[in-house]
Amino acid sequence: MKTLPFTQAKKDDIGLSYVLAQVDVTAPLSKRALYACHYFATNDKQKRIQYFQNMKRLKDVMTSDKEAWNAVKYALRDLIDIVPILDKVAGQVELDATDLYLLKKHVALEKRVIEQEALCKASGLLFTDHVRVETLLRGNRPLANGGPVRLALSDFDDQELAKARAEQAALNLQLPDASTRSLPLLLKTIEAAERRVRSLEAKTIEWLRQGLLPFCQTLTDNLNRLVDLDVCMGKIQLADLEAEMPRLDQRVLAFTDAYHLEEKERLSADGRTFTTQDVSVTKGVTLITGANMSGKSVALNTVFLNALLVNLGFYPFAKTAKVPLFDSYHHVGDVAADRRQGLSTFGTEVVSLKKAVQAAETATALLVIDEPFRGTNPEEGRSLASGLVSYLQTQESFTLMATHYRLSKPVKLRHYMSGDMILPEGAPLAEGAAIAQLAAHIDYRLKDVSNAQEVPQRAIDIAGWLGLQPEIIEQAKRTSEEVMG
Amino acid sequence: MTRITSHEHAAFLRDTFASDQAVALIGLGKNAGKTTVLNALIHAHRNAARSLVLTSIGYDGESYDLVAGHQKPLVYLFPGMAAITAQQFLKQASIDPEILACFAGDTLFGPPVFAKAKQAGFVVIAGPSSLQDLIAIRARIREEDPGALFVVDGALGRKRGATADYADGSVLCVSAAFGAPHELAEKVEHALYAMTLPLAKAGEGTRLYGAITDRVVTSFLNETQYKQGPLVIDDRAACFISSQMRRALARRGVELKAWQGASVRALVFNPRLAGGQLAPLEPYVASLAQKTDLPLLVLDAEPAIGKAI
Repeated sequence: MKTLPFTQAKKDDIGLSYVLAQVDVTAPLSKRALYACHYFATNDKQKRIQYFQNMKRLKDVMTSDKEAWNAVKYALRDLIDIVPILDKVAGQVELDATDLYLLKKHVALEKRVIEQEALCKASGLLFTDHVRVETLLRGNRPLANGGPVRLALSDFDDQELAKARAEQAALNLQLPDASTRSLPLLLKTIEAAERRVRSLEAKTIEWLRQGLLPFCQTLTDNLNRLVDLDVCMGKIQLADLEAEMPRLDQRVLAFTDAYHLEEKERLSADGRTFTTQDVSVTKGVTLITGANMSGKSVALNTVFLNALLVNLGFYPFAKTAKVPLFDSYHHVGDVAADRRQGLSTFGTEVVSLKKAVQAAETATALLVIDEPFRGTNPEEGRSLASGLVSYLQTQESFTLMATHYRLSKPVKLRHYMSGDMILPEGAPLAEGAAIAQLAAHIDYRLKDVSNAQEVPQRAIDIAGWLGLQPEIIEQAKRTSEEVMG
Repeated sequence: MTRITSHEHAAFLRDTFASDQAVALIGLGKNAGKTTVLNALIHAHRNAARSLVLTSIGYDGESYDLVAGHQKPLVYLFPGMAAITAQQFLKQASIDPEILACFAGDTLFGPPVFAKAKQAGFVVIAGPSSLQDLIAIRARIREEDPGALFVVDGALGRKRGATADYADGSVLCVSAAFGAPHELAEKVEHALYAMTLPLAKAGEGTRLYGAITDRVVTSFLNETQYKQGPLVIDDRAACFISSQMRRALARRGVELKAWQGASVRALVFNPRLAGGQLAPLEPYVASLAQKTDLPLLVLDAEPAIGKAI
């Protein structure tokens, strides 16, 4: 698996941070794993298939055996990172009672999870050796039978250490009633007794360390499995229960009824509805055109985020999904926040595009490009956009691009239009009402216009609706007719 | 003011906190005698039915109390008593600790660990350094042993009393080293003003949130439409106003109340001066008696076990 190299700002922009924040993981350790954003890349085909199969089984358990689900969730509250302790075991660094207690508690937690057989089976977790480790760490303490975990170093005392400890305890008990005269001698005796206990304890700890050494790898593996389980359970709770398991298809990236969680919930808070999208992106370039305010950027983000989420091991926010594996993800949009030292917005965009195109040349990448070259003059912008499309069309990677430019050289590619609209005669005079009515008249669904002869352009109509002076609108219409012939 | 003689200390400490679940020992400065009181509490509960759980507030995980400059308290525990201390300090303890829980809130010396003494011995107490951790620990102790008395040595912030978030009762410790009798009495009177603010009833007065300083009160009174009724702060421990501000509020007829707060159960006086010699007792006791009716414990000249070692 690979790690997503996105900055926090990028994760925020595309809505990934929002999704991650909604995942209810139980242990802080699992949260760290979730936010590390490891994704399935092209050589993780089997892993991804297995992951979603397990997830589907877990999803079934979630609905059929809520008690088991809650028991595991409850147990995972105590999950902590035991790797530093295992490093001590492997590195011959002296362990102490707290380390041993934490290991013992971890093994008890494993046991509690294992008791939920159906859930463990469904999650694909394999637990081994925990019984042997548990026995080792129990020492001479009676079996707790599910009671709270306790540990004292005296649990492991042999006869010699038990005797030394009893002597030390008896001496310590004399202290409160010792006279000022007898105190110095008593303290010296106590010090000697304590040294003896420490020396014998060190031997016991070394014996325990040797006993634990063969289990270090298993314990590490089990820890990772528990973290995976916790994260997976959180993802399932977030998943749309109506959604089908995403399918792996290296030829097409396709969704039906896809939505962008953050946008949907933002609109919902405003009393509005998110228009779901049916979209299909293949190798080469898929184009989205449409008027301003027609939802192009949201559509791009919806596809990009859902593709990424599936490879991060999430159910997509869509009814159905076919998602290929990608080696890298590139979202080139508003670059104002990424402006590099000494470069203009245009310069920064070019540098970002160059990097994305390089990735598309060398491996299977997903590129989402929102209105490239919008920051330069329209003639050259159009030429550059046309060149970009022609070049990316020849690559094995998947590119979804939104643009206002009419491409100078016709290329046969999949083409969607967003924001189809029929505006009634006579725009309202008030600006607020005009904006609200405009939104109500826009059809935000992506419409496949790949075979259409002409794709309507609506910028002049929208400008008129929003109240730009009629003289300007008339002049613009005449100019447009002349240019278009 | 009732003066508790040294041979009455044990019984007094046992009885005073009988209805409290948690108590904080607050010192107005260094060498106020908190650790001595802690040891006295331990000895008072030596054969008591009620178990004791001790901790000390950490200051950023240092082994030294950065404010007071002395080491964390080393205490002597009897079997069955428990402590919350950092992993590294527990490792050095001679109590054969039985570990019951390990908490989040890692410090330089490892996480706070809740352990019971299986045998009598010594342990350095260095507990959590955040209020959230302390509250979580208190909740865990209630789960483990609902009848236990939880004793917190120190407060979060030297000049801050104990918040009711973790303590029901508190003991204020002062020393002759803080000044002449009348100076000490003035300091105690001002500290007790905050620590004994009357508690507000639900819906009473105007709420002021967060730490309350002179500046906060001044801006509030100048910038709002405040007209009358008490100002209600979150907790007695959140009151940091000066004596000048107290007088100003009194002149304006503004009463300060608190939404919650630990109750001060006693005043402890350590007659030792900075150099270690004993101060004349009676002038101090007389001055303190003029300012408060709280029971007064005068510490023994002989230091308690644990402190001596």
